[in-house]
Amino acid sequence: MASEALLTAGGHPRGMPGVLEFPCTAVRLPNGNTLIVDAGDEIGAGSEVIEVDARGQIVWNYAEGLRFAHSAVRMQNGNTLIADTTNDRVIEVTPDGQIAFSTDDLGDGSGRLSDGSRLCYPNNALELPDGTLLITDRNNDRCLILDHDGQALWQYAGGIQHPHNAEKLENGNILIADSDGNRIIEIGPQKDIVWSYGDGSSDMLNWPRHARRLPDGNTLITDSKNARVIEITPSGETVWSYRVAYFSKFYYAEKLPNNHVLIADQQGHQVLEVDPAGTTVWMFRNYLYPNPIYPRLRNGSFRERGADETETGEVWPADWILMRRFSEGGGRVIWDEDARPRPCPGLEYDRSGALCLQQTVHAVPGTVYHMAGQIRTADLNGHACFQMSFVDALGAAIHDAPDIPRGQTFTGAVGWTSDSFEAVAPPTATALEIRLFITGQGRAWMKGVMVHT
Amino acid sequence: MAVDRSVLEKKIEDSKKVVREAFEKYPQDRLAVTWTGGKDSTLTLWIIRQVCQQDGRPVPRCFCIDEGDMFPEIQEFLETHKRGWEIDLDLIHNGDVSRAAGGELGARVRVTDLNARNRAEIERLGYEEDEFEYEPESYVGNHLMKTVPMNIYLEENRIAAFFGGIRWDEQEARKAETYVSPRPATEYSPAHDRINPILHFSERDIWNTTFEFKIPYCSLYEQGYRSLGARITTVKAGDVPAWEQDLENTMERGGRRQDKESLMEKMRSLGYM
Repeated sequence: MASEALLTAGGHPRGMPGVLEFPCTAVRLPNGNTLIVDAGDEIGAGSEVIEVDARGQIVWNYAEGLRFAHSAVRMQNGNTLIADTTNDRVIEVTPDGQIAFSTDDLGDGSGRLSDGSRLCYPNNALELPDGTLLITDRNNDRCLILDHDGQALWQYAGGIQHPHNAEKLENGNILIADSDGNRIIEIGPQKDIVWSYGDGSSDMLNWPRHARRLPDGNTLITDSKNARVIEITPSGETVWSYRVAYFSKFYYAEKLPNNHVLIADQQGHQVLEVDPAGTTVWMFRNYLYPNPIYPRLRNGSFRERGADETETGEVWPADWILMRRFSEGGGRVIWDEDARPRPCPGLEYDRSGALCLQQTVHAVPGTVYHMAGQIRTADLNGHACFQMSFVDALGAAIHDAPDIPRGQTFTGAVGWTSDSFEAVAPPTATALEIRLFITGQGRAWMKGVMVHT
Repeated sequence: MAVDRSVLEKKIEDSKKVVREAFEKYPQDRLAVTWTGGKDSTLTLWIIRQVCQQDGRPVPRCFCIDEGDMFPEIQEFLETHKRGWEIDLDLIHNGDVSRAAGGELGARVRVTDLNARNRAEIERLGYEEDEFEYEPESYVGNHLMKTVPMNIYLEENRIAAFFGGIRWDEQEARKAETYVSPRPATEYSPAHDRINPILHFSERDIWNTTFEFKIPYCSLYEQGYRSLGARITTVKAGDVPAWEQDLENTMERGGRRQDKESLMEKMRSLGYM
């Protein structure tokens, strides 16, 4: 049941079924519909799989229990295979929404595969012609082929780092997006690299998250942090590329039989079909910015706590949300009950993703915004800082993560320290996400936060 | 290493160009000069005086912000040279705040004890507590004791532009500065221009010019202070005079308390130089 704390300013419950918050894979089905996976919103609500027709009508969806799902494909038997990422599982659901298979049930319910391992943050699952599953098991830095009895029939690690998607090619090889390695590799039967693109530098590819081999031998790549989709020849020549006017980390792209390209535009919260000239010929977007946008910062002194506890039993500061999208399932809100003049909130985290306490306020282009407050850290093997992240009218973040305006970074154990910084709202800004940010292992708290013009 | 006087003269001439352009652009009575008693603003004022003497015009009014914690050496320096140079110096101070603090640094000030303007400024920041510490280096303190009195001064005296002594090499935040820096109006401050004639001087240039042209400087520099601010935050950088320290390889503002420095960029835009 949606609680007061979880309603948006428009009175919509968070994670409303059918609302596309954060597209991951988007595939065109033989029936002409598009199957889209929505990873959900900033707090983790609303992850689902939706099937939309050409007029944008949602004709099927599945949302039960998904946490930050990243991929879905329609199987030969009509079921839908879903990589339910933060739940560390792959499931198959029937058209009427029953779970027909779940990796959680393997190993007598332990979720263990034949090699004793468990899936860890699987980003992709595909059905192979023989009915086995090709799974890209991102945080185990591997791709594997699994049968329904839990047998790991094939695995490839080989130095890939946080791969997001893999595909099996007609020639039997496996094409892997080695995302943190900034390269695409094709693995042959001897687990040797028979082809690759990307030299590890971010100029060629920067965090590529998907590659699709095309019938003509070219490869279509979503070069996420270079904000583009490119098509390259086997010899590595770029013959097509696509970008938009704002910075977007495209997640997934496939070329359709009509030569158009279907692209999951994460930052734009939409799925686009573009023709070779880059013109948008079809789009699915029904995004509602899920966070209240206040005229100015509220509860920066943390006098008020949220009215209702969340499902985890944590209490958030009123008017702030826990931004968990990049938290990879970890972390929580904590409180320093001994702080003066009153208890103040913080974050406890334990992995290499990112976790934020966040509030959104209006932003006017050209205006200088000032953020000030105090930060304290404890046992922080990572870092914490204040951030001001501007978003545009699409709800797309204007700056990529390293470029988000921020204050000083704090690490280790630092007593209460004042910090402040300023940033000018870019020309396309409409809102500003104010954050306490943490990455790595440890704790950080904030108090006395002010944001003003 | 011998100082090349002609290089310094060229830098001074370039500064004078900036000053003269400002005199062309703004009426005399709409101009002001900020003078802290520090080496940079003293050099700036000296250059402006030279232009005024050469061109037969009066030196614009000067102002100095008393944030409530001035070194007596600075006060003395200003007194002495204001008389010697016949400078009209306005000392500005957020008296309402220091009165509410009983003049005592570190005292807790109740927001409700302040006047309407100060309360509005606190509200503008989004500061939600009932009290704050009367300490120029806290965020609220800095805003009230430095930014607010300056904005009021500009408003009351209808200042269209004022001269300041910032330099490009002071710190990262200064690198984007220009000789004329327009500040748009906000609800709390009038539109005005900042004129920065000595941007192109390095820290070393300042000392070379000061000695070469016998420009006065505060005795605190002799004692090892490299950069001067409020007493509570200014720390000696060493035991040798400022100009003998390793200017090229160490931070000029290293002598100031760290969290003040992290506020610099923010302060510049709110109105504190």
